[in-house]
Amino acid sequence: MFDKIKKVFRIIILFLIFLCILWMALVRMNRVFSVKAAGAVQERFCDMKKDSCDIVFVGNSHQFCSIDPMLLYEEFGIESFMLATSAQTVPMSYYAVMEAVEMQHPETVIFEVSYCANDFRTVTNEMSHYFFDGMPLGHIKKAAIEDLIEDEPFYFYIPFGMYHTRWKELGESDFGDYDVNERGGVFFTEVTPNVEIPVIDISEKEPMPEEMEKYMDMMAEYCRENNVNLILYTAPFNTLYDGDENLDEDLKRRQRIFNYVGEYADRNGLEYHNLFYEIDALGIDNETDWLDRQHFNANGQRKFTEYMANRGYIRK
Amino acid sequence: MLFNSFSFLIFFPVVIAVFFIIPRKTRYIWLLAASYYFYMCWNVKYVLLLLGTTAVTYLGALFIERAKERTVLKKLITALSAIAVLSLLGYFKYANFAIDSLNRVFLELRGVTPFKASDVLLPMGISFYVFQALGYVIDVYREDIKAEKNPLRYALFISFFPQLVAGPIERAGKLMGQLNRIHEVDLWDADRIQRGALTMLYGFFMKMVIADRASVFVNTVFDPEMYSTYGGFMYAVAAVLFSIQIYCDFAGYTYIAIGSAGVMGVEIMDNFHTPYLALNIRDFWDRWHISLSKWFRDYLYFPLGGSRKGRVRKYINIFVVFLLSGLWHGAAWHFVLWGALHGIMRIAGEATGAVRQKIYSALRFKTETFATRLWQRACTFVMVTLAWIVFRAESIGQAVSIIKGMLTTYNPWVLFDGSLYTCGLDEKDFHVLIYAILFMILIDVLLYGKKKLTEAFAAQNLWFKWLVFIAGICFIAVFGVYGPDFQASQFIYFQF
Repeated sequence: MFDKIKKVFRIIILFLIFLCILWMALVRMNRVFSVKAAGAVQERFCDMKKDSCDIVFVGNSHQFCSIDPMLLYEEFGIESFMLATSAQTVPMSYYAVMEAVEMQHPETVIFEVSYCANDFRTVTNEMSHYFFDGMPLGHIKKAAIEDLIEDEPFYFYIPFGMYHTRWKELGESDFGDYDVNERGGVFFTEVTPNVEIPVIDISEKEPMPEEMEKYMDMMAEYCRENNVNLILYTAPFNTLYDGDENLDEDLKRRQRIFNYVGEYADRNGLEYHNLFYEIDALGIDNETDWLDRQHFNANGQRKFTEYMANRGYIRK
Repeated sequence: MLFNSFSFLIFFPVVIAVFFIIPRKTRYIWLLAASYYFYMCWNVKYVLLLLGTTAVTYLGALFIERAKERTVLKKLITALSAIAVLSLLGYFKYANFAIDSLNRVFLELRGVTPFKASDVLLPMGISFYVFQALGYVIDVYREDIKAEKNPLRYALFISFFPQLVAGPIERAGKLMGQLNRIHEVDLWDADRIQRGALTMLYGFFMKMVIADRASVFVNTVFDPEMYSTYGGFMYAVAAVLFSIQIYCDFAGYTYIAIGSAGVMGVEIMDNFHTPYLALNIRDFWDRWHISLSKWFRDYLYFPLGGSRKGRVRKYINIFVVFLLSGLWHGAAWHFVLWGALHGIMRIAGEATGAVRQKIYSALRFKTETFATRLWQRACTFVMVTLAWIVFRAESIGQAVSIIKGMLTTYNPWVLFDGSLYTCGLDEKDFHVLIYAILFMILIDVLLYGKKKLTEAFAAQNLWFKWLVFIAGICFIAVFGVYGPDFQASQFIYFQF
């Protein structure tokens, strides 16, 4: 009997060790094969010490190209994390806020609202991986996937199923670390000259798409319930759609919606800053500070971050 | 549920874990529930067909046994049971084929298509479980086995999930006995579990790395809209790859079935034994889909008289068996033609055997040399591959076009100028396919030499076994064909 128990115990232990080794091998493979730009931010966020940041930024590429959390820490002593990801829609930002509050419980969440004018829950299935890859498994991820992903949700839990065909294109960088710093920040050094920001000073308002407002309401409510200060702002850009022949009309529509966001913020007791109206004060050089017509490069990001902090829009 | 689906990766460990935790006496009930769940994952409604087949053959076998010496009654019940289950198969698998064939005849003769095809879905695995149930009834009729009294145990025999949807078509005498003793299976037999897991791993390798990769090329070349743009050696490569694909697909599936049953302590018969190393067509059919060949031999060929009624009758019997075998594989005329071709090749091989031996003797030709055997294997492979073209083509017309194009177009440069990489598989994928096929051939050669690979594996040190499992799983995870195809262009950073 004792021998039998010993044998059973041995088999169970060995099996568990085997599973651990296999798991480690698969995790390592997943890291190598994944698209480094996707998943990096979420993994960095998971690596953070609990309750170690006062501010979490959510939103899309406009957010992470505009704010440098490392600079905020080094120059202003503000502990923050950039949880914005490419193509992070308003519904995704709502779940990002939930994740931020659950994992770090920051005092403030700052949301860049340019996507409020876009009526979509996801941009493409593939782009959604930027938000979901690396997000820790848990009820928030499950709820977000169930809510937002219609096609092949399985691959949002195990993205390796999609990335495994990258064996043909693996390079040295795939075996290295993420190119996102420990506060989730990234910067880009390329320059697009001659970018002009059209300041469209109109006073009309146009409601944001109904579903986006629903998620904004949920986000605001969630922050209130958890005693988190929610700040909204709009980073300036030239266009979201290069070459769009209806560019002027599109920008006017967006400005009307941003004006509405201001009204929405007042109604809900939130702080909102539309930086389109402060473009001159920002000190942006249109020849040197843009990565493209939508996003700041490292120069623009530094100026924008310093402006936001100096003006007190970002504060401890 | 397919074996190569993520659902199965969750389903199987859960089934195994519960199987070993619950009281031993209830294991068969758990396996029955799991098997029905497995089937219902595909289609809930069609489980009624499985239930119906089970009920009819279960009751039929009991009545046959009770009829004892009343031979006519026994025959009648056996015939009724057979008609009942074959009617199901006939309706669901062959009704539309018959309607389509009749419509074609009417169209030719009177310019009308009077019959309307039904929109029934072909029930998954129906050809397998109907034959297994029918074999059981006949075995009871022949008094080779006793009828099973416990309906749940019998239902498990028909629905046992590892071999439910793609065989092997097991015999009650072998499988039912094992399932009835499933409570005796020792949970802690690590060697048995390792052997089963290794067999499964190899099955996944054949299916996901080779078969599904080869299918990309084959589907491109055989595409009814596009096939006429290829020719000559492209057809030859596609035909050879289809031979590999269908073997790795079917045998891979069987290995997963054998391995998963093996983990639970159930030994399922081998369904493939190095078929492409066969020396002739007869040898091929002793190695290809063995369970079906044996089924037809025992329940059709022998009752037809086998070889006992003279040479001509024997050849007729062989031809009938192959025709029906073709029809069993699919409800279309090109499957029937495929069966007929094999029948003809099989008969021709047998009929000319004596003459060939005389010629070899006269020429003092050594038949037991390596070179001769290699030549025989190559000839057999070429014949089987030509027949596979008929099997794979969408119609007899397409098959004829492809074979004609293969024989009349001379374009060997396509093997060297990169044309091969324009049919769905790029150069890197093609290389992986070639290396994987070479590995599969190596395993087949070892198996042909009666090497007990799983036993040899189980005897190795633990570190080596772990290394094989981990490397194998990682290899299949990377090089297996599954999931949405990654395209870097879909990930353009900064879009929006």
